[in-house]
Amino acid sequence: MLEEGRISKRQFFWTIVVIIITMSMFRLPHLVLWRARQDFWLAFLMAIVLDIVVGCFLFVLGRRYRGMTIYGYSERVLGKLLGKLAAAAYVLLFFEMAALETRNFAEAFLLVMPETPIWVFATILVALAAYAVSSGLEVIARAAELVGPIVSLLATAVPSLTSNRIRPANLLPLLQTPPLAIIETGLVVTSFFGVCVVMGVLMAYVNEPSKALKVKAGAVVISGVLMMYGYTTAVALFGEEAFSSLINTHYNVARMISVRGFFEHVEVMILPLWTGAAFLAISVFYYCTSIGVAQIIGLKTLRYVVPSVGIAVAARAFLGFRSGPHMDRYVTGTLVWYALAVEACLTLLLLVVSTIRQRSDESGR
Amino acid sequence: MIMFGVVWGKGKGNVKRLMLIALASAILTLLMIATPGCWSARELDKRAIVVAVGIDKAKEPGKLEVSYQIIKPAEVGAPRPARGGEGQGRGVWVLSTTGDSLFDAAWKMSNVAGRRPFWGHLRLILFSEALAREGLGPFLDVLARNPMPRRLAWLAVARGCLARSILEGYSELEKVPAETIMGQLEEYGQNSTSLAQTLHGFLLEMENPGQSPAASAVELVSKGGPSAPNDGESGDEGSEDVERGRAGAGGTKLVPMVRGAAVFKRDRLVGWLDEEETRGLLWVTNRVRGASIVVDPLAGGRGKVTLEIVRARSRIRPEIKGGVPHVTVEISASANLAEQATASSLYTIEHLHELERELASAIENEVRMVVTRAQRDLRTDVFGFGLTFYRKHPRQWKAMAETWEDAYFPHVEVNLDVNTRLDVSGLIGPALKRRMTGTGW
Repeated sequence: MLEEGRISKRQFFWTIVVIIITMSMFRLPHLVLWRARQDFWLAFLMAIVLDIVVGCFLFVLGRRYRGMTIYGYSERVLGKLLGKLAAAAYVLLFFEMAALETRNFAEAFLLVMPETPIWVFATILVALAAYAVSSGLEVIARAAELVGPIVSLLATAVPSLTSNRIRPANLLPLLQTPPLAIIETGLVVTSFFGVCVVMGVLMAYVNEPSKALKVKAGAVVISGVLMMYGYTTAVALFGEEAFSSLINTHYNVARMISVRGFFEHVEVMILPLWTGAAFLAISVFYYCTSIGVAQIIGLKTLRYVVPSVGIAVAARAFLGFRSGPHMDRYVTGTLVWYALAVEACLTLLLLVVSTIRQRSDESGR
Repeated sequence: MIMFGVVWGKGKGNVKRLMLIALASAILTLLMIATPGCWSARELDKRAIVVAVGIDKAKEPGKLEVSYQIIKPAEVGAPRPARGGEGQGRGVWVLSTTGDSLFDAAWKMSNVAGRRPFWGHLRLILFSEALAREGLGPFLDVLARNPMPRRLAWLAVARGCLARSILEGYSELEKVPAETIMGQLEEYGQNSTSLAQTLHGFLLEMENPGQSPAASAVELVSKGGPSAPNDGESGDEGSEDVERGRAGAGGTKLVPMVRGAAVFKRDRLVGWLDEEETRGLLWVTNRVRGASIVVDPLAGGRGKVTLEIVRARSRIRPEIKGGVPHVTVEISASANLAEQATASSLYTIEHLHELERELASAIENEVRMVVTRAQRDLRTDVFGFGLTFYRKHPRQWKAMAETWEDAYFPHVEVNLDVNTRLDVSGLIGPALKRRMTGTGW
């Protein structure tokens, strides 16, 4: 076994929460707000619902193949070769997300420390994540249990502290965005939230797998609503600007904090939020990538996998992406379709084939 | 390298422990370098702290002259000499650079100052009238794009003079003259006759559909110097007819003063509002915090009554009747009887009601004045009437959006619904009357 550890359902909950917060904190805000404008919340609702549906698929599969990760049961369901291909598709998704979030995190840090070369942030973060991954899932999950509440608290506190400056009327008018634009945006959000297919890996180690779906759905709803609050604040603060020009939306929100002319210049508050959230989410993606690679190749330990995956993630993060507009196009184009194909379609395919197989097994008996 | 270390660390007992210690120290060292910002650290005494920026056209065409008020820490910290000459004890240095763009000019500042500018405390951004008339849009980009300047800094236009001369203006009270201007902006709510606009607010109003922005207005007024006979008694304002911009002419000191508002159409300055018009604008946009309003009740010049506004709220209600946009402005204000210069007692229910009506019509006057001015002369929707249609009637708005300010706004019918409430909460109720003989005040 590659992983001996077990995680509690509370740790599983916080892991999902932190992943969703990370995914919706960097880059996503402007991609969503520019298109869906005041109706961004519809895109969010759509993503939350679709993500729970995918969660159901994974739950059924996870219950059917107890103690196996999505990589394991892919082979069981689709046969050795196809199964390995399917597993590779998931691995590629996790890898890409790890690299993307590393890049996003590093770019966010550049706002605060503009003179530091970007590879410094990428390397430090990936090195820390490597340490976490090589220590095993239990360590990551325990860190999530610790960091998750702090990250959630900060994610609530930052928008709340600007409440003296918001103009709620900026949220009007509602329901004026063309439905197609909302659905398009909804798919982008879904593809981001959809990385919660890490459930397919983690569920194998949750000590009460029967509760996994409830926990996951709860985590998605809670963190989704929490992030919607952040987006709502951004719109109420910046109005039209949020829909047309602002990028790094959450940082812009943090810059608006000024309570009684005394509590200000505290945008630094957002640094622990970024660091905590990104570190954990990247560790999880990194972990899922490593364990997948090991499983596909058939290795018994992660010893050689962790460093190579780490180097690949860091290299992809600071060599593989270019400027903001390049990344926006990639994230809303290629990546959305790939992510949705893997997260939703491939998972559904696994479920369908597995069900057919089970039926034919039963009737064959 | 660290990552390999982790893996090797999985080896045997002591080696593992050593590796872990090495790894931990490596990570900590990296964090120590990265997190406290030692990377590009610059000590405070190598920084020029900019508190205010003024932006003018340079003499050379197509160039900008940017002036900075930077703090002289030693002067600010030092006790003020009791009777110092001018310039002595002044806690700032005003310097200028020129460049092709705002960023370009600002980038050259360290060449002049010998220190790198620190923008984190920039709290006042001034544009000259000439630049504002040509449009501020091109200069606001860098202020919104660059993470250094604060969005909550005040944004003002220098009325009738260079932005630089405002920065060079004199302050009786503060070692950092910009503090006086910022103080005037912060305290605008005392009388609500000036607009206090932040960069953030201006950007918001400029970008919003169906609204044109307004900015704070700062001008220079003369102030009797130390040689003036009744220093301190002549009141704060000084003479109005000062040749604006010619600082220091004839030994008078020019003091910056925030007054009225600068009104824009899109990003171009189109006119100035005087104090009453400004308060009219603030009534409509729910920004009146306090005011003193003098009414002359019981018509016949029997004495003025001063009312103090203590609370005010307003709301714009847009309606489309028969395809034509109408607007109702609902204003409610609570006031306090602050002063009466008449011997007749106003401490009766009837009189209070009469005063309430007087107050309402005074407010209405102020609002009417500015609405008419905006609709007829300036043709710019500083109130954001269009914005309320965009929010409330988005479908109908689509047809009006493009031509709102020129085709619709000047003809919008504006109804006023003013509610006032008067309290008497001072220490005397009826007037002092025994010895009061003076009237007509």
